[in-house]
Amino acid sequence: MEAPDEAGSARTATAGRRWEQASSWIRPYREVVLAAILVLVFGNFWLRLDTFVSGRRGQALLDPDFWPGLLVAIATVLSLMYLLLAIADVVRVRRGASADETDDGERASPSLSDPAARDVPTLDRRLRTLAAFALLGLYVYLMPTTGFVPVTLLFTVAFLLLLGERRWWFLIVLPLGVVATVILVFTRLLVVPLPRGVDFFLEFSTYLY
Amino acid sequence: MDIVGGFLSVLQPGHLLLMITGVFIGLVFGTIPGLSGVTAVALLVPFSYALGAEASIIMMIGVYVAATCAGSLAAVLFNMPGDVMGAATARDGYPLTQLGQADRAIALAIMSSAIGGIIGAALLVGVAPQFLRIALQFGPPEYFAMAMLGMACVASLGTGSLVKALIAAVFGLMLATVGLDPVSGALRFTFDIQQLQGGIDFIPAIIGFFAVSEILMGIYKGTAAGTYTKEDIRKVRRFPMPSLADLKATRLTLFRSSIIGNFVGMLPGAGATIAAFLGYGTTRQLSRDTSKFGHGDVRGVAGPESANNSAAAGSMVPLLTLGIPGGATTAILLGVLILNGLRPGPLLFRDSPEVTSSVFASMPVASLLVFVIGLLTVRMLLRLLTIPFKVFSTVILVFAVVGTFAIYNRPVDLWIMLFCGVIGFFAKRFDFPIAAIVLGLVLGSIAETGLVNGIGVSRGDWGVFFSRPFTLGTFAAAAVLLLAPLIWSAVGRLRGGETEKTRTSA
Repeated sequence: MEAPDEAGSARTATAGRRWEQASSWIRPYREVVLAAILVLVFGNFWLRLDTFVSGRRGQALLDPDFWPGLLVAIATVLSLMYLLLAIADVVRVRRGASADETDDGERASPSLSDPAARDVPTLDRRLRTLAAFALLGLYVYLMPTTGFVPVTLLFTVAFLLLLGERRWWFLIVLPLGVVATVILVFTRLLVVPLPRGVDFFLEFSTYLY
Repeated sequence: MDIVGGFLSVLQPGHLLLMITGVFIGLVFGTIPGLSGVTAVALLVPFSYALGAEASIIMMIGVYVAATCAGSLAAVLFNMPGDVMGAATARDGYPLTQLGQADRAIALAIMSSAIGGIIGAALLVGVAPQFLRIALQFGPPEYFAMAMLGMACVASLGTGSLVKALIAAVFGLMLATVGLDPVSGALRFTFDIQQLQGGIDFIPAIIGFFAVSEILMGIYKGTAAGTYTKEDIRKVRRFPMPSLADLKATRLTLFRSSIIGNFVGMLPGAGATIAAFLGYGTTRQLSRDTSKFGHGDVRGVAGPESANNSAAAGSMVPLLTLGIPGGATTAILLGVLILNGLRPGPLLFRDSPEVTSSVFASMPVASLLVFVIGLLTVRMLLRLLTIPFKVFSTVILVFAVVGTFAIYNRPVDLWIMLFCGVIGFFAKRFDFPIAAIVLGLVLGSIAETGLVNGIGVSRGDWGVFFSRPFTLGTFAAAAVLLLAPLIWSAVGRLRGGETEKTRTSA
């Protein structure tokens, strides 16, 4: 995976600015969007509870869907309240009233008027976070197939590159050190099995642990 | 309860070495911003297979007590708390550093933690047997009521929005329903994924919520870890020593905050963070001269530090006597006991008295070790802040993945960890309290079992939840906790309106 530079290249910086401009209109509505998603998700669970809970009803005093049903109902009502509060927040900000003057009571987003919260990470950071998610997903996905050692070496090198490490010796020493430590601690000291993978990888792992 | 036997067990060379290791790990994880004692304890779970219940609990208590103290080191020196509870100590600790008294503040913080831990442990020995007597009379409705009180605590005592906290808590309770229903055998929220039938285990989830999401957040927002230089750290002497004068000036605060912290710790859902803020708040409110608070008052350091360590001891009470964990760390300790075939609750005292007495004895010993090791290694611990984020985040992620896999050897746990990491990231991004989600997940099955069995025992009579004095009192406390913030803000608004009126009329 191509990793952006520590400081972020000029190209991503420009792209970042463009992204900021394009996405700035949605920022005040972010909480509203999230609240709406929560209402939809919880509401869907509530209305279609039968499809999510299998099993017979009427066998016991409380059906197996009683407690989950109660929870999703409460969650739906709470997310509706959250949606209303978020909309109220947007309206308040739109009217130009400074949040400090209006109230200090219950609001959906206490940070809406907080300058620190407006300090949005650049596109570079967002891409890195997304790439970190993806790398971690790939790591977990490949682990059962390749076993612990190959995928961990790849993951650590890729993750360090992603976070801006460029010293070649460091990219060799740290991954090898981590892998060696884990093998020693888990298989020798604790006698806890590590994933071995399949086929070729399985055979390879038997040489190491 | 055989306390002497507990001390003899903890002081065995092997156990003592494990505890020293635990204290050291806890100090390291507590100091580095973004890592916490919970993460350390969770990553140590696979070790319990090799160590057994008693030894691993001794080690984990060392981690827990040390991390609770170490969160304040970076808070005092750089106003950059290693964890949330450090923020309470930073209010007066950082001003002391600005006055050039970093040594004094750090030494006092470590000493207060140790004293809080010891007072908390003494209270634990006194209170737990009384609690046990009540616990033996507990039926399903009481367990349900306690779980609800925990949810009310975690939702209302947090700092952000109450609605968000409640959504987080209910979401956590929903996560706990995933899988095969133990009562009816029905499949719930498994989405036709066979591996989900076993449910969502809370240890992989906790690793996801605390370790993975924290590191992803560090990438997203940037972190102060690794940005400090050796010169910054030289502000503290190699071996700072607490002064007798400070001890004398804060003795009342230490005692009072320890007692408050201990009782807060016993409440499920409250925990050390809330104890730290309450410890600070009460110290400030009950002091005659409050002019120096916020500008470097030693009592503002001693208050929160003694309260949070005492709360750590207090949190052992519901865990051991009822099997109800009050937070993420105690939930992991519960998990370790279960992994080793023990069942926390009133019967643990009868069936495995050696484990309970070791827990009681571990608390004061760990506090003393934190005092000694903490003061001796302050400079080294602070030097951890110069380690670049990329190094420790890589190492922690690998250990998170391996540690999660090693607990049950199930690949599905890795996906659960990742899922919880993603949810935790967005929860942090939008200010939903992760502690509420985790407590919901942990208390979910206790709550549901209490509800279903309670209704079963009473043959469908819902009155059983409201006719017993204990459940009634607990529900009332939960209701007060939930409604109090709303009433406070309404009263505040009314008063604000009145003063405005008088101002305009004048």
